[in-house]
Amino acid sequence: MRSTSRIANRLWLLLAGLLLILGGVLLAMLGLYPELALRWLGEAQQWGLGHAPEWWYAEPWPGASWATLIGLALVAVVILLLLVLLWKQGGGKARLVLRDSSSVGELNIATAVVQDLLEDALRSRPEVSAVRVRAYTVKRQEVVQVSVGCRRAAAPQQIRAAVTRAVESLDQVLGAELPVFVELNRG
Amino acid sequence: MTTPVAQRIIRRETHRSRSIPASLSAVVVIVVLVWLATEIVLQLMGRSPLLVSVPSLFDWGVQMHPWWQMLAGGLFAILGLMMLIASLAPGRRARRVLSGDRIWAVVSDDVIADLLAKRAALAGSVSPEDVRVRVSRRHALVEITPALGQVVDPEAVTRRLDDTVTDAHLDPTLQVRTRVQPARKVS
Repeated sequence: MRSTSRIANRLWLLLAGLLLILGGVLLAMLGLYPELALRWLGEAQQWGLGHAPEWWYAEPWPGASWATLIGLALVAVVILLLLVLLWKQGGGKARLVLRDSSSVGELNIATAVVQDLLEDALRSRPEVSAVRVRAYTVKRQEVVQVSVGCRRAAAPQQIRAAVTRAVESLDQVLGAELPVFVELNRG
Repeated sequence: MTTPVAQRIIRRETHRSRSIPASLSAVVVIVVLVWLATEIVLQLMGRSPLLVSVPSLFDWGVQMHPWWQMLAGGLFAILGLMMLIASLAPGRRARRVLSGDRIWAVVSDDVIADLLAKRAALAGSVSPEDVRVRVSRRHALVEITPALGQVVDPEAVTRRLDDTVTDAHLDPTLQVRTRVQPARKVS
């Protein structure tokens, strides 16, 4: 439910995995067939040197060629991108489940309201051990997430029905239908 | 049930985000890159390296004992393969959709397994400890080990559990298979 960019996670793992496999295979080759691996390394280096433009070797500062500086800049960009990736994990939590300013005044419903309502509705059920309500923003819409802890042998559709009834009574009070997502976990 | 928000929620709640492998590997790579960049800058400034300069790190890798090269290379390649699998595998979580009106719900396979175990024990008139249930994506395998002298009809148990599964309106649904093990010896 969180707004983690999953495609970014997949792409990063794909790229890093491929590079790690390549490096690992090369290192293992050094141990297994040193001549072959060293020849590959030499050829790769030759190819790189042959294709790099002249100005790469120019030294804007003594001892620091453009190639080194470009390398450093690339490292900085990769570090920055990875920090963005870390920053993008999680997130998307919302404090309110409903914010409505269409009618007279403003109506805000906090997650605690829904939490109390559902706890009341499920209190009579011995197979329910815990109820937790959180709100997330999905596609610019607040969505209520209800996590229900189920003891052994709870019948899922019965719990689902109890939650549905509670949510429908909330619908009537609010005059609006909140998007509600329920997860039943062992707990 | 098929609004874009619903589709996104169900998809996200039934598949992993890969947040942990992606974050862990990103942190490791950031640390390594920051260190590498520091070593390069130190070398450019003519200072002595923190741990080891980049060219001598490369030489050290090439001159390492072949066994260490193979071991380290193999470890890198295995790690890379794990990341590749994490990236490309579907990453399904062990939960399924509980179909119904008004709200969206998913249920953990653990909860289903608990329910099936209890119903199987009732249907077969055995004690709950004698029943083991394994739930995979499309099948539930029920293993009953009755006490000595007790007879259990697997067909009857399967029929009862099929009803339970049908009542739960699971998506994907489960096909129940019941196996009665030879009675355990009384010790």
